[in-house]
Amino acid sequence: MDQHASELIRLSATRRFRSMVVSLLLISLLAIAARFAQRIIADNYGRATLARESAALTREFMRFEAERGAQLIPYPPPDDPARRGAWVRHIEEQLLQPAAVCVIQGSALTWVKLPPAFQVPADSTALLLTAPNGIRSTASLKIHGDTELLRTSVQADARDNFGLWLVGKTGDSLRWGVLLSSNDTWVAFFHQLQGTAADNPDIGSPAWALQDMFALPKSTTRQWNMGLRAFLKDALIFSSGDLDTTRLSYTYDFNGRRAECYLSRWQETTTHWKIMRLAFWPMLLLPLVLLVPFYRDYRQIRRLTDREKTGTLHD
Amino acid sequence: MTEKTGAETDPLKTGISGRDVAIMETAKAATRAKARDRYRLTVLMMILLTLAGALELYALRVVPKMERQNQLSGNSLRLYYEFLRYYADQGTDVAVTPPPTVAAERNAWAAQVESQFNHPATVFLRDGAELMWFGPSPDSAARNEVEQVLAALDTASIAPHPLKILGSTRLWMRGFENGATSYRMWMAAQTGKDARWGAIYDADRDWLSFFQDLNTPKGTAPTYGGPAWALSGSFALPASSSAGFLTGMRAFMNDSLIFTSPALDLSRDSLQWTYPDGPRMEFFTGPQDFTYTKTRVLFWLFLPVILFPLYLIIPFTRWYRVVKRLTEPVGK
Repeated sequence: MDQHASELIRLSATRRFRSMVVSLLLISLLAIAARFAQRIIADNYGRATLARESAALTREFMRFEAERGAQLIPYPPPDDPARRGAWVRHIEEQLLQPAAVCVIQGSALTWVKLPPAFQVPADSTALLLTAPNGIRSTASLKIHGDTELLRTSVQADARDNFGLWLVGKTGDSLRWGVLLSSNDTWVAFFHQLQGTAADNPDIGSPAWALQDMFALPKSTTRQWNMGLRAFLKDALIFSSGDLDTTRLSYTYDFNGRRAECYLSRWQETTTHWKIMRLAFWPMLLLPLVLLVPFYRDYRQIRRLTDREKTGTLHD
Repeated sequence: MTEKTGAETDPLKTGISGRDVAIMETAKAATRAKARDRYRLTVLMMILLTLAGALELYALRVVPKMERQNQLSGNSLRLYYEFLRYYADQGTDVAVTPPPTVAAERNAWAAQVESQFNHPATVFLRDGAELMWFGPSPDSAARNEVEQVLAALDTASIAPHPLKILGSTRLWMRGFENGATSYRMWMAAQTGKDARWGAIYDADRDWLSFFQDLNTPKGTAPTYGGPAWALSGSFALPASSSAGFLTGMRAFMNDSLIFTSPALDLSRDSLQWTYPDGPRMEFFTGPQDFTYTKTRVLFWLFLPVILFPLYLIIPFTRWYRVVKRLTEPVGK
């Protein structure tokens, strides 16, 4: 081999080696960039799932709260005042929360039960009833069969919200109803979710609607469903079994009523795309490993085309 | 490379002995063998790298698709649950409207019960031995079915489990088919009273009124707690505030379109589902699903990662050839 050809081979090998090193480093960088992009996309999917399911939870709570009054329809007040104690107990058992219970006949308001904590909103209720158009000026109205249902919020204090539900037959002046605290309703809602798996939740109940989304005792596929825990002013009132709080989560907080939703292990595995994680390391490391044989071949060519050795080997 | 002749290897001319030549030939052969092994190993690694990239690319195509299908399937299930709740609530309205004791008020009562369904229904009342029908009389098969269920309710041992218990009122629901028509029947009774009342109608009507509620026009507040209120955060409905990223859908009952989302993009990922005794539904991912676009971009970003290792085989093969040429045995 002549000196010139040898020099050309050497130069071309150097150029090729440099471009290979740059290319392989670029591949590794691209793999890292793609991995970051995957994480962002996976997180997007995870957060979208969390936002969707937690919206379903809060909507279910809103509906549960709105439907409180409908629970009263089958319980008209007994005519005999002596039986009203049992009647109030039935209502509280049905609602699963403390309540101030009232009966309105014409414009006369009677509190059959008024716990001390409800005194302030009860006073506001009396004021509402004496307003020019009565309670109808502020309340929402819903008709259930031959029964009308009125619902309105009642001013109390900043720590809690109170709502008044009144029920009565259309065309009748008799109304019966309850004053409920939103905090108590929050507790009752999660108490309702806590029934055992053997229970058959009523169609339309929160447990029935949420059992396929969240890991409730009633869920048949708890390991796939989203984890959930709830607090009232930092006191835990509900938690899914085997909850893993290190997972991606979404927190709903309204005036001390807090719910935390967590992706399940299965959801996180899916959203983080395990298959991609498997492929990432070979994609990152193989280009770096490939540098070794490239470098050795390059060194070999350099040695074989060395100016001093060329003559001794081939000329 | 110069032609190698016997003169060029003559030790007298080159100053290299035959033994030295033999040693150099052995060294060259070893270098050549090493280069060959390295070449094979490198090609194998490049193929592995390409396979890893192909797996990544496959996952990029398949996994987001699976995610979107999961979302569609979750939403379709939510819609079905909402429908179940919707018609169960109608049954509840029947239960909380007990019949009057005064016979003259029964027609008004029946009209009130029917009005709660948002669609035509035949109301019935059995008081004592007499079974009364209000509204269009159903066919004989449906009448027989009602009579059979009423008889079953009278016998505690075969009485079906109530769907709901509302204070002293129990509510039952039964669906049955007669030819091509599916019927839904609601029946209620109060503890300690003989009266049984309820309503029967073509089950398709529940679906139609359900979609009528979903069609609440933009600018009109959906009924609080109703289907449109509950689903407007998940589905692109006329009442939804921002339909772009929400699931689009259309529904067909007996092959005629009964509902379609506004600005529905039929080219997106879709899921078809026919509900039991109900409409055929098609669900589509929203046109502003940004993740959809992002995964497409990522796909094109990955394509060079996969193809580049294959391209790198070319320069490496050239190198190998150079090494082979440089280490060729003398005389070849």
